[in-house]
Amino acid sequence: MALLYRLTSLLRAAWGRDRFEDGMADELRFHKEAYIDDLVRRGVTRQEAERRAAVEWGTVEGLKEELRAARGLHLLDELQQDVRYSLRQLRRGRGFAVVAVLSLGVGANLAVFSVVYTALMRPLPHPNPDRLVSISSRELTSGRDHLTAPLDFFDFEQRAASFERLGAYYPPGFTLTGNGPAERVAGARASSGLFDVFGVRPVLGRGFNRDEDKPGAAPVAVISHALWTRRYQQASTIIGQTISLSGNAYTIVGVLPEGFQSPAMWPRMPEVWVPIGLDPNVTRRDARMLRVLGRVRPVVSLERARADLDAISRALATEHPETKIGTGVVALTDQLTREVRPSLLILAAAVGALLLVACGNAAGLLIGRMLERRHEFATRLALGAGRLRLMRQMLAENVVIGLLASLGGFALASLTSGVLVAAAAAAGVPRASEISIDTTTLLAGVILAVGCTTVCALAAAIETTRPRNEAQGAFATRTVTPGRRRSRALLITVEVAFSLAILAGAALLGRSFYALQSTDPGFDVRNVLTTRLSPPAARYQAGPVLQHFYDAVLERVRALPGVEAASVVDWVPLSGFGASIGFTVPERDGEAVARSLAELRVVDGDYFTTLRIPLVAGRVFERGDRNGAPPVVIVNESLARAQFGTASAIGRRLVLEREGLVTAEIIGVVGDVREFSLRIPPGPGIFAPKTQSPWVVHETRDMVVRTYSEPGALTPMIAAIVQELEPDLPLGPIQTMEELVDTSLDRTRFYAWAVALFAAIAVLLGGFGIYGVVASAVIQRTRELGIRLALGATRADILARSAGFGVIPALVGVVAGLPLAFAAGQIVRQQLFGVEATDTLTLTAVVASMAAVGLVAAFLPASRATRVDPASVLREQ
Amino acid sequence: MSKTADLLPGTLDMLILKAVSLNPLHGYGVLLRIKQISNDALDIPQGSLYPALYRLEHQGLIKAEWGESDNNRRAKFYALTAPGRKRLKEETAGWNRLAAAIGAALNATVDDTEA
Repeated sequence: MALLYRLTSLLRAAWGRDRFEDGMADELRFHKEAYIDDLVRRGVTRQEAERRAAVEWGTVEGLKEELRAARGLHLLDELQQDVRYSLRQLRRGRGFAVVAVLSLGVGANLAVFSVVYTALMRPLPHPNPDRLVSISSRELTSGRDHLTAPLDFFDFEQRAASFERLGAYYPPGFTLTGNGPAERVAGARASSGLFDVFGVRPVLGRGFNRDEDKPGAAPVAVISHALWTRRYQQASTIIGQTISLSGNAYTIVGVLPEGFQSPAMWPRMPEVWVPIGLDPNVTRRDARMLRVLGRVRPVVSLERARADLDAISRALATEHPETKIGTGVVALTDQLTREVRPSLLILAAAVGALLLVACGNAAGLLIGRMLERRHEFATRLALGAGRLRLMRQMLAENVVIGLLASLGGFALASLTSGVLVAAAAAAGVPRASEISIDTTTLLAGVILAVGCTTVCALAAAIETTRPRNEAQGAFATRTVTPGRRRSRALLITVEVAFSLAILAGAALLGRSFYALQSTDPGFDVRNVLTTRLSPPAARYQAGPVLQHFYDAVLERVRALPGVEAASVVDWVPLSGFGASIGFTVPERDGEAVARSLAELRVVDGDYFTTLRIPLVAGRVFERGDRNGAPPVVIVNESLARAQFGTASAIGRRLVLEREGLVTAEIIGVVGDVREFSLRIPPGPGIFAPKTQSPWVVHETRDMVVRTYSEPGALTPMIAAIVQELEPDLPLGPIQTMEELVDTSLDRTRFYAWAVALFAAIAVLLGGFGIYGVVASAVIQRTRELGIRLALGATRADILARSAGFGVIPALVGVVAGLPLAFAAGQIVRQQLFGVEATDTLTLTAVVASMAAVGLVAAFLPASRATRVDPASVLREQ
Repeated sequence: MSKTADLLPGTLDMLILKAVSLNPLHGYGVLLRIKQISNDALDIPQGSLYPALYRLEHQGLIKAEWGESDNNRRAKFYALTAPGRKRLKEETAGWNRLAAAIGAALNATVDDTEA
């Protein structure tokens, strides 16, 4: 009650501030005059009375200040003053340097935070995302997880009681024609439960029913809202219309809600969904093809769901001994973030270390600033300013610095957000498109910046208010204060140590990047064009028609001027896709026949000349290698070495698991090619001729074209040829092989550049820190240095002495940073390529460059010390 | 020895409350009234009067109103509020208890020593 009264009293005074001030002045004037009148009445002269009144009253302004304080108004006044004063102080001195340094640190942290938060922490965009799991089948012998066979999936679905619903899909691409130009769309053959797992209902029509999980399902399709908008202008009559997918007609039965997206759908979010019952393999137990997702019942733990599925898979193993599997269940979030987590942690660690460096730097600046203002503070204390008031003012200054730094950091993060999102998306960071710099980020920035400033300011305050002789400390500004410099030296050491660690990480990642970039992929990437051809499957089933189509395309492309060679392959190297095949070598006497896996590519003889994959032994495919002729294959050196050692592989036979078993003779050995990515060393590989069955199984192919010169000019002509032969073929981008290689480097490049950028900032900050300490030491000690010079010290002595203030802590920092650098090596180890985490050369170079930065930063300002004129210094005091 | 006594800490508020309890007074009037009711024994330093007045007003123990002074000048008059009256009663009782106790204690000490 009393508190409330006081608050309204304060508010009244604050509100009618002018009235309060006038009233106060009137009241005091009245009092003084009444007093003087009284004195005069008692016989004192008016002049004497006025003098007495003035003496007794003291300063009216001081009294007014007290009266305002009695009303609580001083709090408002002082706050306003503090803020105004802070801004004025910032404009002078190093305030803005502190703001800039912290902005850099905070901005970098916000940017990384936004990526890490979106990729690792933001809940999936589905209801109750914590109950979503990813289910895989597990090979019992190797413990490796793989995709699930359709029949196994249906058994899981029927028996698993811990799940509300299970869903499965296989992700084919479709060639969509009609109602506009042909286009390639991502698709899914989905089980009826998949939409329920995601908790999504069509906005129009229906999803799939259980009958459509079985073979013989009617060709129906559910389409995305985006596709409905793009090709059908959201026509409400869409249900019941037909859509042509890869040349087959499907009836549209449903449209999904706008914005339905799931990072769980691999490799892309489908735009067209068809029932799983349409898949030719839906009744197989040996086709590992489905990705399975599940929604666990409420209150059922992950462990119980896991145990449930384990029991089912054990039961299945007895029922179907030929396909024994186990199961793996992981939370969907974990599964989606598992791969990217270590790489993002690199960024987080680097940017965290950068923040430490920035804070160290800011604390150093603040200490310097406070030391310079000691005189001011002492003067104000002497004039009667309250100690508490001074501290509060310093606090206000730091809050202002913190707020400005958070705004600066936020602006920095916002400005760089576009580049960041693009780079993160290219680097395969999940959900990169959802990254945003929003109010959450701003809030994080304010907390971070104000927190950092407070820590820095506390460090500075503790340092500068250490008890010592006030008078001396305040006014004898030329006094040397080694203790204070020691703490700045410590800050330098910390800055250098952490900068060294980031630099080490950056150097290792950078070397990996260059190692990767200069890795020989096993073929000549220059002057090669590639594009994916997807003729509508209905009209181009595997067989003569498809064969004829590709022959026609290739013939006309080869006839183009400037084309050296052209060929097709099911998956071009470095595309990120591939297919493998199991095989055995039959004729090794006495040895058990061990099954092996190899990458399989279906090609013709021109493929090797087009990509310039060297033929090591034997011959390539020829026209005679057709149906009816003996089945032949070509193997790569890895396979030849692994299976036949030094003996020749030519003429040996492989038994290949395709539509039963195919025995084929090896007619050639070619060089190894890095099929998946530059990072993955080549494994065993088999090339089968596209002219012999049963190799051509699906319609899409990558065409490769080698040109004599810069290939870009040929793209329109190639596009024209394809469009003329098949207007319903959606032509994807025609890329050069060099672009493809470059894209495959995106991921490595992203982390290498990001960490390199942080390292550069950290090293610069460290350098500036050293520079600042030496520079202010030289200024503070001008007199001492002058005396030393007068007493006969050489310029070299002076130079070494001054630079030592920066060099020594920097070198200590380098030594202290070594274990941190090793730790950094461990953090980045998983991402390294062609360089060890403890690579001596890299670490030596890192240490040398850090030390060099330290030396330069220390000697530049130190050289100023040698120009001190002893005579003028001595005259000064 | 001066004939005026030093003010004990905390007693100024009590004296102001007492002064304005009789009739509303302006600041200078409070000063004169305290001098008068203490038979010139208590002289309030002018500098400490107004902070005390503002504080008491802020606490709601007295209220202020502008009015005309004896010589027709605008002055601010302070009067006791209900909480102020209550506080004055408490403080007076407390003071009397304290004064009696201290007086008794001091007298007793003298008697005992002489006996």
